Amino acid sequence: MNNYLIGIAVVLLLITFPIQQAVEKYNNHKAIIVMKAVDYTIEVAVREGYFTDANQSDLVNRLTGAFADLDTADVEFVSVTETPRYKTELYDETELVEWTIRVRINNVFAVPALSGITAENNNYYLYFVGKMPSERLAN
Amino acid sequence: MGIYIKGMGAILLSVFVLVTMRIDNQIGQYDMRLKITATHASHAAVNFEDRVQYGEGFIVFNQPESIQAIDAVIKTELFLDDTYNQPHKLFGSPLTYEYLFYDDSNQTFPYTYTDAVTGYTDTMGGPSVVVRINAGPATRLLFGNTHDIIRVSSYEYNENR
Repeated sequence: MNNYLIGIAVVLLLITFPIQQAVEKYNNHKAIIVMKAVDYTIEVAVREGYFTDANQSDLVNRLTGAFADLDTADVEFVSVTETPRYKTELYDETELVEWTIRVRINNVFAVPALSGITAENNNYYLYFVGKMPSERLAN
Repeated sequence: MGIYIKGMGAILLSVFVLVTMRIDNQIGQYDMRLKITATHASHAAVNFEDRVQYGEGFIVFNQPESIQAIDAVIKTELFLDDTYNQPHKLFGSPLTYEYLFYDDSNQTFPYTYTDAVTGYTDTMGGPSVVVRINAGPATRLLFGNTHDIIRVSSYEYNENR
């Protein structure tokens, strides 16, 4: 009887591993897609000289459209350049397009209760911080 | 007792597989960041052309300004300190990078660039900047500890921006 109970407990525990592996694979795939999507948004912003509302909305729409577990609030433009910066002859810190963007990756653990993690804490953020010279030409 | 030992063995093996997989995923994600950063760095570099040469019809990069832009992009996007130490716990050595300028002062176009280390190839139609980032070896549980993680990217000057 004792062995039987231990066996059941071990099997239940072992079942969580392949599930967690599937979650890991999915989250890794998601992180890579998010990186590429944010990169595209940054390239557009550098070309336009700042992060336009349309460009910001486009990133949110593309990511929430691609992943059902991503909500609009999960894509945050923490601090981005929102007024035009212009191409300069010399490197000028004041005319750079800057950004701090973070995207929340949800459902990190398949069975969070097993690790004592609450549903609210079962996530992490991918941060994107950077600055690049603007390509926008002054009129 | 037998089932207990077998169960523990199975759990330990599962944990090992999971941790190995997570480390590989993290390295893969960092690898992607390196690639994107190299692209941004080379992109930033092509913004600065020598205005005197430009006036004479040549595209020649203003290298001191371009190098400043490359350095700023790499440090900021990869969260490096002034000694280029990487905050990523799987990369113990400082990051290094190199850049190559191909413009009207040293190259005719089209020119096919092939990176000697990674095999990265780009056929340049005009002046371009190549950035190669070396993050050093990553700490893995199994194979690959000795291989440097290197990503290369190039960006071509576009006069019509």
